[in-house]
Amino acid sequence: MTQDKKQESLISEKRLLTLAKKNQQEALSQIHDRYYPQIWRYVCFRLQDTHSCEDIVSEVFYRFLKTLKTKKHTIKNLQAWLFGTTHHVVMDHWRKKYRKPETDLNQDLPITNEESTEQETEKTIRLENVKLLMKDLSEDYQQVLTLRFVNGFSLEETAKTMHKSVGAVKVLQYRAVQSLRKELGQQGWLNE
Amino acid sequence: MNKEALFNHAVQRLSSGEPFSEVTKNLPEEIKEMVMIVAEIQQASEQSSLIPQTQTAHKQKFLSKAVEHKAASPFSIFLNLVPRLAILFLVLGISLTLTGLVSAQSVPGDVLYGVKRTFEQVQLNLTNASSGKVQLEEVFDARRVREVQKMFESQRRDEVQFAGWLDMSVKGRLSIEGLPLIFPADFAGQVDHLGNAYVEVTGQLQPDGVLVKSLQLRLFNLSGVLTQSEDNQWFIDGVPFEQSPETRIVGVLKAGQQADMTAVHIMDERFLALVIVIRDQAEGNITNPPLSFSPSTTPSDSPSLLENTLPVVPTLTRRVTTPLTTNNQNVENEPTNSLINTAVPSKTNTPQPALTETEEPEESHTEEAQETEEMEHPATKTDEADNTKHTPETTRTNQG
Repeated sequence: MTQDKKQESLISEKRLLTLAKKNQQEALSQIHDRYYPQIWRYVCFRLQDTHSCEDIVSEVFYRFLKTLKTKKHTIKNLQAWLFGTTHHVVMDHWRKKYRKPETDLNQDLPITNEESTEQETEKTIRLENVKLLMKDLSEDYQQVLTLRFVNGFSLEETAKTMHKSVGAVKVLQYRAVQSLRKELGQQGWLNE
Repeated sequence: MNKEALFNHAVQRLSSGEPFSEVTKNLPEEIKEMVMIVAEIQQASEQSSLIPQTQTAHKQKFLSKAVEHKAASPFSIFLNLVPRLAILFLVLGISLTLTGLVSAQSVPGDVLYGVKRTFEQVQLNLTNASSGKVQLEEVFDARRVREVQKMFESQRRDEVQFAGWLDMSVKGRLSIEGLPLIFPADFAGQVDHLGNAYVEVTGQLQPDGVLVKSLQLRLFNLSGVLTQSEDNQWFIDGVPFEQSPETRIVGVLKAGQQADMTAVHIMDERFLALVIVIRDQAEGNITNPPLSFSPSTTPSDSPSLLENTLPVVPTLTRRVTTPLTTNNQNVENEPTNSLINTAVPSKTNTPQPALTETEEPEESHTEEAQETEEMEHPATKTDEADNTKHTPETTRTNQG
């Protein structure tokens, strides 16, 4: 049943792509509706800066339009192409702006309610720390963690987006989380 | 189950919605911590909530961008065509170059010989300057000679046409670029004075050389601005030329004027003008009707000197040649070592059959008007000339 649904979705996605290539507004609109939130989530998890987040999502959709017009037949799987491109744009952003975490961790913290308990605050700080630590992981680790646990991609979808096998994705996600655990342990988060 | 399998299994259960406590029950501490990190990432991702207005605003921008792209699409189509056109031109260029290279080795009778001549004609047509055109014609003449040499070496017996400088050996044998010329017995003694002339030959390849059927001075057409150096040397389009008393000048020869000229080659770089027509500078027109001389890249276009005829001055009709008669003392009296004299005999000695042969002049026509008419109808005059050159009686009448 689930397989049939996926197959249906894939076919309709192909159809969407074909119509988008013809610059049909309805198809482009549907693609935007379907993927904008997901890409937003992916990017914002990686950046934590809403302005940069908007810029990067815009850049991804602009590249999509450009590719539709100039390079025919390069987009075979829309989802994989969009998230692959998003990953590259995010990495380009970091390459340009990357600094070793000099910023005060508290600057990036979301504003908490007055009613937030100390425990909740600590949890929030820990989460933000996880995000910061992720930036120091390899590109593949960052991508696999974001696709799998932020965007909720299945192993197969992640494999297609990253152009890897399902087995390789399994290994990658294990090693990525293992690296994060090691870093958190070194900072004393896990011993408490 | 190893650690990796345990972790992946736990993650799968967590993703399918099982509570964290259930998933991590009985898991080793290390894996439990790892699953906890995954759960935290999942929770953190939920914080990055999207404001619907942001999405709507972006969607509008995105769709309007798409419309802009559509408007620019004709250019995109052109851009897409560019690489294809480039490939097409490249393939075309390569095939033309290859054909050109292969055809360059061809000789008359070969399949690609026509291609070679077409390339040459295109080159000639693309050359505007007279100096360049003349040089190109000489290059092509040299090619023709090489082709004939090749055919001669491969013992072919074709009819050939070529042009070049006549060389005379010590033994008095004439040749062009080493190609021996064989003259029929009845031409004996009549061509000796042609040594060092630039001539065109039509003949038949024989085992010992080329049996000459006709031999004529090679004509060149030049046009451009006339200039004169301090030592009174005249140039047309930068090409130096000489005049003889017999050179016909239509108009007044003056530096700075546009002119058309028909000439023969007398030295490496110099030409002897046979006819010079000055163009009307004010209107850019030719003062008189143009001469019908054609650029004599095709040997058959030039006046015949042999073919039972004598070497002569090309007259205004260009096609008219002085008949060779065995008792024509005029020719035999010509100085034999001067090409200029050979090419342009004096008026008194040279019969002008074409001029006197004009059959339908109006009464009011002057001699010049008759010449003009001949220029306009060269073909007619050629026929007349052909008739003339085989009738010594007519010639004698004309001379009289």
